[in-house]
Amino acid sequence: MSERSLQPAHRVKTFLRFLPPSVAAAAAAGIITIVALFIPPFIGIADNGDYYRIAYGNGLYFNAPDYTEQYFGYFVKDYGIFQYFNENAGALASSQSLFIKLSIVLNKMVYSPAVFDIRIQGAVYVLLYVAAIYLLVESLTWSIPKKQGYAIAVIAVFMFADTGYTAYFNSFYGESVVLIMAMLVMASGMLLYRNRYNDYAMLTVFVLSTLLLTTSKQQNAPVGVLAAGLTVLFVFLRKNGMYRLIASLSCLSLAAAGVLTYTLIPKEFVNINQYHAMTRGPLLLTDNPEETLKAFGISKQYAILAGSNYYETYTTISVDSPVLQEDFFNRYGFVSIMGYYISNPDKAVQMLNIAARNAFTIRPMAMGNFERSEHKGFGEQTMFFSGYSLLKMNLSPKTFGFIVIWTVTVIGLYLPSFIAALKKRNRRGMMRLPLLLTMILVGLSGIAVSIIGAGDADLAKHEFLFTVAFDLVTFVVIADLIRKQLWRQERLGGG
Amino acid sequence: MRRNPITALLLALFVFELLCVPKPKAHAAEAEQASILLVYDRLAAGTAKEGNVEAMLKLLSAMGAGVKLMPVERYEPGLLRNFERLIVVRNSPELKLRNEGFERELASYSGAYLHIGDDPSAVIESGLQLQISALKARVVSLSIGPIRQAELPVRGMQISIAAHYAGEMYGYVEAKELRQPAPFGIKNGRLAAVPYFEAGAAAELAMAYVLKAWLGANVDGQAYALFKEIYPFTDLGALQAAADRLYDLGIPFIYSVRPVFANTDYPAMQRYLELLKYAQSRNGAILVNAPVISPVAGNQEDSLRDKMAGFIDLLAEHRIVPLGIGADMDMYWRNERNFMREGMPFFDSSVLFPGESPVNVTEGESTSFASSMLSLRWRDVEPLLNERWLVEPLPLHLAVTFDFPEDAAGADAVLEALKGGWLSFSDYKTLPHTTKTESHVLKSENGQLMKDGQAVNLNAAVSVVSADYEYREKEKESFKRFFTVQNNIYLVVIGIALLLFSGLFAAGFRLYRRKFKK
Repeated sequence: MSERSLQPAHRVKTFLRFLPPSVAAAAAAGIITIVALFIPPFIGIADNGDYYRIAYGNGLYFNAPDYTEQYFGYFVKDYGIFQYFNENAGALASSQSLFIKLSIVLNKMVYSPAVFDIRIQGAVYVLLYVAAIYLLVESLTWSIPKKQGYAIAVIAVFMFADTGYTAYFNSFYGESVVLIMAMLVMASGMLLYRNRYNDYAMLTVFVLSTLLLTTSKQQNAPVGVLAAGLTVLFVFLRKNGMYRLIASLSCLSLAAAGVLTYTLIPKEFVNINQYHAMTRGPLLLTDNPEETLKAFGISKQYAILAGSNYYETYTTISVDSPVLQEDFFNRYGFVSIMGYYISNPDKAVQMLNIAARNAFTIRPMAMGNFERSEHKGFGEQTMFFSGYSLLKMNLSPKTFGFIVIWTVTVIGLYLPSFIAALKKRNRRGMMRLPLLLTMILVGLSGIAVSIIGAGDADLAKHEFLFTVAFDLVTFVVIADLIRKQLWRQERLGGG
Repeated sequence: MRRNPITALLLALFVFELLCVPKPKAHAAEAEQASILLVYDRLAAGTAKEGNVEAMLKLLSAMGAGVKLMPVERYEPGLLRNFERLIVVRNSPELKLRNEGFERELASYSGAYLHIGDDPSAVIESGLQLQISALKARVVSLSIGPIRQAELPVRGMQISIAAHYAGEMYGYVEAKELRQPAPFGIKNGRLAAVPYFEAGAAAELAMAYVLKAWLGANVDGQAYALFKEIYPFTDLGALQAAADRLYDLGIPFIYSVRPVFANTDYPAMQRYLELLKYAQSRNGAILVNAPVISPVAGNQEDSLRDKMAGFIDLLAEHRIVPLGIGADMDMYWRNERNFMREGMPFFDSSVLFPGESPVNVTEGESTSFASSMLSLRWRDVEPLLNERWLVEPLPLHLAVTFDFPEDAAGADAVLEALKGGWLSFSDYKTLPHTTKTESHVLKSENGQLMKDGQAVNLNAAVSVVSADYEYREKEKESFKRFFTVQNNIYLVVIGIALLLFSGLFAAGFRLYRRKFKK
C-alpha cells in the first residue's frame, strides 16, 4: 500500500469517484426524509377533511375514536382496513389510488391485515422520490466537473428534501404523487435532451410519469394536453420508424388522458370546491354580488354567501344541504366560472394577484405535522429541514407580475440556445426551452384551475403544482448557471 | 486550504433548519346540576328498541327536566344520593346488570323511580306488584288521551306486558293475541313502570302522559305549527305567501330561522329581515335555529356566543323578537363545540328536533329550560289525529314540525292538510319566553311581544329594500385627472420611442448586412 493512498485528500477523491453528485444528492435527500418521516416524532400532515374520499374509496377507514377532533391539528398514522364489503369502493378515480393500494398490500404483508400504517405508503413514496432526485440531478450533473456537480447536488437537497415537500408522503393528499411525478417528468425530459440514457427508456419514464401526474388530480387535466404538445417534439428525436410510432402513440395517449381527466371534472367537482369557486371567486371580487348571481341564474339572496368559507366553524347552511344543491350548485360549473373570468378580465387579474400571494407556499399553513401523542400544540408544524420552504415563503415577491417576469426571464435565458439549435436543425438541442416552457405552463395551469375551481380558498394547497413547477424550473436554471450552460448550445451525449 | 465561496454559501443554507417550541391550548366545559338520573343497560343499537333512550331524553327535555344520562356500568357509588328522581331503562333484560353497587343502592333508594322495560327491580316488583310477561304479537295498538288504537310498530315481534299490577293505569295496549288490554304504564306513588317502550310518535306521546303524572307536572299542553329549514336563501315570496295563508286560516305558526353571521348589512339580508318582521305581524313567532357546526372547522377560535348575540341583536334592532332556539337533538346532546354553553344561554325556551336516525348518545347532561316542547314531524303525527284531539288536553307542549316546502305545490299540500286536520294550533307568543343579550331583553307576555320593556309594534307590510348598495368601499383617488393626463403623455412618448428604435434597429441591421454578409 503506497503512502499516497493513505492521505485523506486522496481518500476523499477516491470516495467521490464512486459517489457521483446524483447519487450523493439522492442519498442525502433519502436520509433526511427518512429521519423526518420514520424517526420519532413522526412527521405527516393533518387531515383537512379531504381524506375521507380517497381513504374510504381505497378500503381504509378512520379507526381513531377522536379522529374528527384531530382535523387540521394532528397527523394520524394508523387507519383501519375494511375487512368486509366497502360500499365506498371506487368513489374517486385517481392515480393516487394505485400507490395507496400498493401500500395496503405491502402493509398486509409486513405489518397488519387490519391496521394500515401510513408510513408504509411514506416508504413507497420515499423510494420513488429518491429515484426521481437521482435522475433529476444526473440530468444536470452528468459529465460536468465534480465541483459544479456537487454544488448542484447540495442545492437539490436543500430544495427538495425540505419537509414542506416530504411531509406529504405521510398523508393521503395527492400532492405526493404530483411532486414525484412532476420531478420525473422534468428529469426524464432533461435526460432525453442530454441524451444520457436510452431514449426508449426515458420516453417510457416521461410518458408514465406524465400519465400518473395528469390523472392524480382532476385539476391536473391540462398537464396531459400540454405534455402531449411537448411530446410532438420527441417524435422527431430519432429517424427510426418504430421509435416515431411509439412517440406518436405516447403523444396521443397523453392528450387522451388529459381530455378524459377533464371530462371527469364535472362529476368529481366536489361541493366544497364548488362552493368556494363561487363564494371565494366571482362573489368575492364583484362590485355587485346580486348582479353576478343573476348572470349565473342564481337567486340574488345567495349574495349573503359572498366571501364565505366552508371551513368556518359556524355557518348558516351546510355545504351538503339539498337546498344548496338544488338552487346554487346546479346553476354553475367549471365552464361557466371560466366564462365569467374571461368576460371580466379585470377580476381575473385581481384573482391572479391573490393567487400569487400563495403561489410560493409549499407547506399548507393550516395543517399540523405532529401526532397528537407528541403533545405538541394543535396545528403545530415541524421546522425540521424547512429552510428552503421558509425562505421561499418569506422572500418571494408575491405578485403575479413577478411570475410573469420570472417566466419571461426563463424564456429569455434559453431562447439563444434554442435559436442556435433551430439554425443547426439540432432537434435534441431544441428540446430544453420547450420542456421548461411546458413545465411553466403546467404550473400556470395549476393556478388557473385552482382559482376557477375553488376561488381563493385553500390556495396554498391547490397551487402546489405551480410551486413544484416553479422549483423544478428554477433549479434547472440555477444548475445551468453553475455549469455555465444557460446561453450555450451544449455538447450533447450519445447515450 | 481555499474554500469556494459558493460552496460555503450553499452549506450555510442548511443552518436555516430550526426547531420551535409548541404552545398548547386547552379549555374546559362545565355542566349544570340535573335533577333526574337516567341509567340504561344498552342503547340496543340495531334492535327494535334502538332510539328509546334518546326518546326519553327528548321527552324529559320537552318537560323542562334536566337529565344526567349514563350507562349502568359507569355508575359510581353514592351518585344516586344526588338525584330526586331515577329512570332505569332495561333494553337487554336477558343480561344481568353489570354494576352490583348500583343494584344495592337502588334497593334502598327512596326517591321517585320509573322503570322502563323488562326485568324490574325488587322495589318495582313489590311496590307495583308487577309481573311482566312476554307477548308474541305482530300488531299492537295503543290508546291513551286522544290517541285511539294507534298501531305500534313491533319490530321485534315480541313485547313485554304487565300481566299483573297494582296502581293507576296510563293508557293501554291491545293485541289479537291478548285476552284483555294491558296497561302501557303503571304508577303508584313515587314508583312507575312502562314494560315496553319503542321510539315513535304514539309511544312517545303515551310516555309523556306517564311522565307528566310521575313528575307531577301541571301543564295542559298545546300544539304549535313549526316550520324549519328556513334560510335567507329560501324563496322569500313563498315564505310571505305561506304566512298570509296561515294568517287567513287562523293558524298561528313558528318560523325557526337560520342565523346569519356575515354580510348582514347586504340588501339580501335586509330582505330576509323584512320578511321575518312581516311573518311576525301575521301571527307568526320566530325561533332562532341553531347554526351548522362544521365538522372540519379546524382550529378556528370563533366565539359562537358572540355570533349568536350579534344575530339576536340584529333581529331585535329590526323589531323581530326571537322567542327561543331550535336545535337538532344530536347537536344538543353531543354538545358540539360546547353548544349548550355557547349557543343557548340567551334563551329560556327551546325545541329539540329529532334527526332521521337515532343519535345513540352514550353519556351526557342536559340543562333544563323554562319552556320546552316535544317536537314531532307532521308526517308522524298526522296518522294519529282524530276528533278527540280537539278536546283532550295534551300532556306537554307539542311542536308539529314541517320542513318549509321548497316549491309552491309542496306549500299548498301542507296548508291544505293543516286546514282540514284535527289539530288546533296555539299561538307560541301566549307562553312566556325571554331572550336576553347584553344589549336587549326580548319577551313574549300574554301574546304581546316586548323589546326592552316596550311593546313591539307589528307592522304588516314588507318594506322594499333598495338594491343600491355599495358592497365595497371605493378606494380614495387623488390627482386622478393629473395621472390620466400623465399616462397619456407617457403612452405617446413610449410610442414615439419605439418607432424611433425600430427605425434605428432596421437601419443598423441593413448596415450590418452590407458590411458582413457580402
